[in-house]
Amino acid sequence: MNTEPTDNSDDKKATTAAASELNKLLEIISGTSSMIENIWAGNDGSQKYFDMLRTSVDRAAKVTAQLVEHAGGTDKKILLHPELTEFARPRKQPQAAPKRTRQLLVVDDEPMALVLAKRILSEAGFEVTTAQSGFECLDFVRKRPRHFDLVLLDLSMPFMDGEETFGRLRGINPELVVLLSTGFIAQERLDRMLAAGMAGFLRKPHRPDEMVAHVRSVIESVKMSRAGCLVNTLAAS
Amino acid sequence: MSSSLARVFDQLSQNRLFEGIQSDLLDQIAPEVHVVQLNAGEVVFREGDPGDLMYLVGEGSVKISKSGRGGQQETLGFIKSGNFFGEMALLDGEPRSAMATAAEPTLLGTVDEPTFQHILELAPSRLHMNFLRSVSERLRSVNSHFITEVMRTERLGLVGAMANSIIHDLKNPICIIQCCTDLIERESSDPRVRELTAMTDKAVDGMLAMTQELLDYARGSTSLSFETISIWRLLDELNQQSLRLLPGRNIQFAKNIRYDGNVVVDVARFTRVLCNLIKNAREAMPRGGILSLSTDLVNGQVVIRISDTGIGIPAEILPKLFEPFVTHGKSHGTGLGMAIAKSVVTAHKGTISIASVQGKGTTVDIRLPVPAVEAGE
Repeated sequence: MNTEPTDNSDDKKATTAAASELNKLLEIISGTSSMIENIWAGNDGSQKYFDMLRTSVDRAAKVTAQLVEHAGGTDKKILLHPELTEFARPRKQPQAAPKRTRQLLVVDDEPMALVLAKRILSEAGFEVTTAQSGFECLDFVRKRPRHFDLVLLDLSMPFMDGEETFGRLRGINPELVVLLSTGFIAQERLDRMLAAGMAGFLRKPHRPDEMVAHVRSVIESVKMSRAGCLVNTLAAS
Repeated sequence: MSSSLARVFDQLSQNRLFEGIQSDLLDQIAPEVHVVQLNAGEVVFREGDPGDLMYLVGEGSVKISKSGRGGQQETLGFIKSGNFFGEMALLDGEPRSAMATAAEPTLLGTVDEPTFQHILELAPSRLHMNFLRSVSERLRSVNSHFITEVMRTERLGLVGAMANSIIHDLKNPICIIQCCTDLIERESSDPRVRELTAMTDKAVDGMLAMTQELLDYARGSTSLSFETISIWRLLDELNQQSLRLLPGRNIQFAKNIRYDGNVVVDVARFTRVLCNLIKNAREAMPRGGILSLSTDLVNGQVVIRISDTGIGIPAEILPKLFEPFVTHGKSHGTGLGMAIAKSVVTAHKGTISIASVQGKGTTVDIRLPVPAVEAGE
């Protein structure tokens, strides 16, 4: 079959858009189905539905991962800022519960994603505030620049995307810990944002437990790294 | 019932589709299953055929293949006795995506949609399960080598290659997710579960819409089937599909038909573009307004104009409107709508342009060539 020359940049945009949107939706499905499984009180025979559901979500995630790959997105799933990785070692002894409840700000333009993230992260013991746009996020942070321990930020949002929001957040409070969560990001862009001080990255779709674990690990590593810096500075003086 | 026929039905009742379904229920269904006898090499259906039946393999086996490089058939697998195939057509109504041929003398039972519905009513959970299990097993076997094959051999654009393989691949797991969620919802009375399954459903709908849009986008310039139809026929299609939704939303419809001759279009695809434009216009007028549709002959071109008296589009966004993923006014859209419109109209050797004033409204013009017959008059 002969094809007319296609405008590849538009094709790429379309694929990027699709991959990002599909991963966003898959993330929701993955979240809802794990939550259903957790509260399930139906008959035992239903386990097979959950198995199948999980298989299908994985299967769909693999297919969308191909889309991501073809559009030149990063294949990384979970990433911690290189400077934080040495602090991310899981400690053997049981962790002492944090003295105060950790404050999270979740930013996503998809209302369902916010509802889910709020439920999942609240159940995991965080205090969760949600913002449905970069604008709302900036409004919250501007009012209370030091209130949030971590901002979980979506990338593809209309009118002001995650990268711009991130840049503006840095302007308000350069210490603010930001974890990017998106279904699609080009490697260069990811590198650029990490270089600008983004604490970590989590690619959608991810399971609820992965999200909770990564949020915890980022907060913990940042805390350790800051403590480490302090110790070093003290020792040096 | 003759004894040989009885034997056939006995074989078919052993089919995996019916596993665990009580025999008295099967007796009710048996008369609705038609039996087909095929010789080795006989074709059950071809790729691209409209699909409205699924098949149960009684005796023998069926080869599933797809045309690959240089039109050669590539075998995807064999469906053996006791299994079934062709079921996707009952789910999505799409044409056959592969070819099925009897690999040896074969007895098949055919199930049409009403029969399938009937079985579903008689044994909903059981049938769902049997169905899901088979479909998901097949998924595993058919996939990835085929994708790479398509990518390599067909010189399609990036998205074109996606469309033919990856996107289709996505439909299956999505359908399974939909079925499972449905079953889970049915077996639970927990309101929390219902709330979550409702969210899953919404996300699944979103995924289906997105895949459809990506397919439409990718197919924009490929495999159109043109027909010469009158403007009236086109309006009738629009009337059936989208215009009738307008009055309920306090939107008036004004038409001005100055050209009522023929146009050459792929009816389904072109109508979908117009429906999308009408939907955009509708969404731009949340408090009501006037939607006008006019046709005219200007400088030897047919101009179809759709305009609204809605909120308009900011000037900054206008130039990028036909690029994928510029959404405006929707908190999240799939963002391919206008890109699809452009690729479909371009494939019709036409052009599409848009003018908008914020607060006043938007006008979209589609220009198509005048069909040769009309031009000669």
